[in-house]
Amino acid sequence: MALFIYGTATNTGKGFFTAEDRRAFFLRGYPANVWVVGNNEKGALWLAEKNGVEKTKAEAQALVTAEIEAAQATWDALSEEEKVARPNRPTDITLP
Amino acid sequence: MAEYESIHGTRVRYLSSDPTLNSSLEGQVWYNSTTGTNKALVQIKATSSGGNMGTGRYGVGGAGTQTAGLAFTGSPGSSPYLSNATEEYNGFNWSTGGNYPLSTRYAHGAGTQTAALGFMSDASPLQLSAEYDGSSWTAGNSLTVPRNRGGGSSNSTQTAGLAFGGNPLSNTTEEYDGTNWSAGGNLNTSRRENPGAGTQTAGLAMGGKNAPGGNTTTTETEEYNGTSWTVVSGVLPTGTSNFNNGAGTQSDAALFGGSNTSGTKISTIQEYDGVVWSNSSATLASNRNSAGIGTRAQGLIFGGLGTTTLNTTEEYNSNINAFTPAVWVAGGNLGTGRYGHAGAGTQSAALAFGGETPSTTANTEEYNGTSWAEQNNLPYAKQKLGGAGVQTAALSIGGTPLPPNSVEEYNGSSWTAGGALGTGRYDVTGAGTQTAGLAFGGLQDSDATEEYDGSSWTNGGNLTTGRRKPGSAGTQTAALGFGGYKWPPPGGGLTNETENYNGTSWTVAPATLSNARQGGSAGATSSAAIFFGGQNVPTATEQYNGTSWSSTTALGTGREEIFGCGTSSLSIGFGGFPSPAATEEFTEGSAAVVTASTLTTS
Repeated sequence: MALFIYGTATNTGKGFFTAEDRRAFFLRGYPANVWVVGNNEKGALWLAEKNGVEKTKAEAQALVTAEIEAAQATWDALSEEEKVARPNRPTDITLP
Repeated sequence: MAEYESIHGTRVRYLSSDPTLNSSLEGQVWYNSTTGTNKALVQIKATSSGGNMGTGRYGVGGAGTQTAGLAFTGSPGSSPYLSNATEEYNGFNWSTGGNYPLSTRYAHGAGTQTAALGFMSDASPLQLSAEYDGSSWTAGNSLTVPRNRGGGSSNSTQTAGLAFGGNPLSNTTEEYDGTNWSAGGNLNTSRRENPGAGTQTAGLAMGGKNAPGGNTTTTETEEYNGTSWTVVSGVLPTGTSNFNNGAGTQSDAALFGGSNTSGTKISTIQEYDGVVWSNSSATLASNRNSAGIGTRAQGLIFGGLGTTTLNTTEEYNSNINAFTPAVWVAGGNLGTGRYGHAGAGTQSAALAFGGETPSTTANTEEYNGTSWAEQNNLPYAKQKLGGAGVQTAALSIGGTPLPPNSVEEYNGSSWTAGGALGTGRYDVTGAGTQTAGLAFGGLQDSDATEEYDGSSWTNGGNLTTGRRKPGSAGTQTAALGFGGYKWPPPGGGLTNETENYNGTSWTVAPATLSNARQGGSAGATSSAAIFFGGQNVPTATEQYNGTSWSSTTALGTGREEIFGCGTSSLSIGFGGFPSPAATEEFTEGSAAVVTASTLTTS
């Protein structure tokens, strides 16, 4: 059985994930509203309740990568002076 | 249906109050006549995900503990097939260590992360053993009998190892004294791919394959007393082989996963109490034949083979202590998503101001513990500014674009000009209150510190290490600065250093962050701080107790340029890239409490 479920869901703010959720299953948010959710009953239910759209790992990774690459391109286009002000180029993210 | 008395040999005890709760009562049931309830003490067992290894490997060697683990060698499952890489685990992520002297797999380990022993792997020379000092491996003397895939006493020290069994099918035991290997007593049953636990004088051999070929496994257990092995009555519920170690001691051991007699990977966790083996109520998240280290109560499982070569890590915890773990939960979203901003206040009464949206903003919002509401703007749109104080008496310090020395005071409804910084800067950090504030670090004077009295700034002692946007906690006369971006170059870059300010001067604290970064921070005192998010480790959270930093639960959504305020036990993080509107609230875990469960009929 796969360790994780991958999906997209919009963070609606307070109550979007609760202490009970965090204790019941693995949960981690990524760029492009991608969420990696522990693959158990409560995790699957959480994603469904949040009107989440389940993705394959490859699909989720592609969404994250696209957003990061866009941010990297934005950073690359900064002037040298602007890069001094913002020295950290966005780093690649690999989903678990 | 069997009755309690026929199973346990005694009747359910009739007590007027709960007995003193300790581990000796685990699994016991009693009747509390005062409350009229049946009660029991249940051990809580669970696995949870840890940080992924940098390189997935099977046949990876392991040593150490759940929060200070060591992984070395193994096969990545593809060319070049054998690895000499070492990785160290700190409780939430793996980092690179020194290379093993040999690219190999199926090595066994003993000792700790900083004083480990590796031995009995399957690349030539099979006899090789090596010692690790926390940074590099040194090849030591060889075992006498060449073999691999045997068992080892995983709980031994670096200088008192025990190797037993192995492939080709063997009953040979050898003991290590820190220099040489010498013969020990033979196993009663020859075995290979046999996990081991315990120490050189109290060793434990469990399961393994007991034929020269095939997958047939034994359930038999043997105990070593420093001289000879004895077959004991306790047998594994499932005959299991494993490339690597079991965990724990001779009388308190665990075997995580492995392969059964059909060669199928399993997720079962088998536990030994010195007499009886039983299956834990918890299982691994996946079927795997992996390295398992640590103890029965706190195990670490990593790498190995599932359906593919694995880089995943699982942590196993088994405890009668019921405690509420620390947690980050979602708070209300900011009306104006932002990063490079500042804030002030507490978890239930916070203030956010300035930042990038990505355009620079003067927007101000107040948080009431549930939602953010827009307030009067800053007089300037500014980003990379510092913040201090509380929601009704806050300071906005410096920032960019010009004027970088501007300071504004918030009274709960509007901003007015405060005394200007002596040194204008951005990426500056604030601490303290509106009338006893502190500003330190930033560009262009990265070690400068200034103190505010409610109307003007005066110079304080310089930071030992100049840095941009460090984290902060504490007050004007007892502050803590940590992390940030060391400046100026050359030699710049993210730092993990911590410094203490006493109202006059900064001194370097011995504690360093596990991860160098710029993150969100909070803390009312210089001895209780929290640091979260940031580059490279965007979800990582660490807490400082006045002496050292330790990892705690991760942010739900990883971010850079997140801002934090509140205390180390009740804090709030908001904004940041790439989730600029998100807010999360941190609540520290409660102390361990042993609680008896009330049994019901439902």
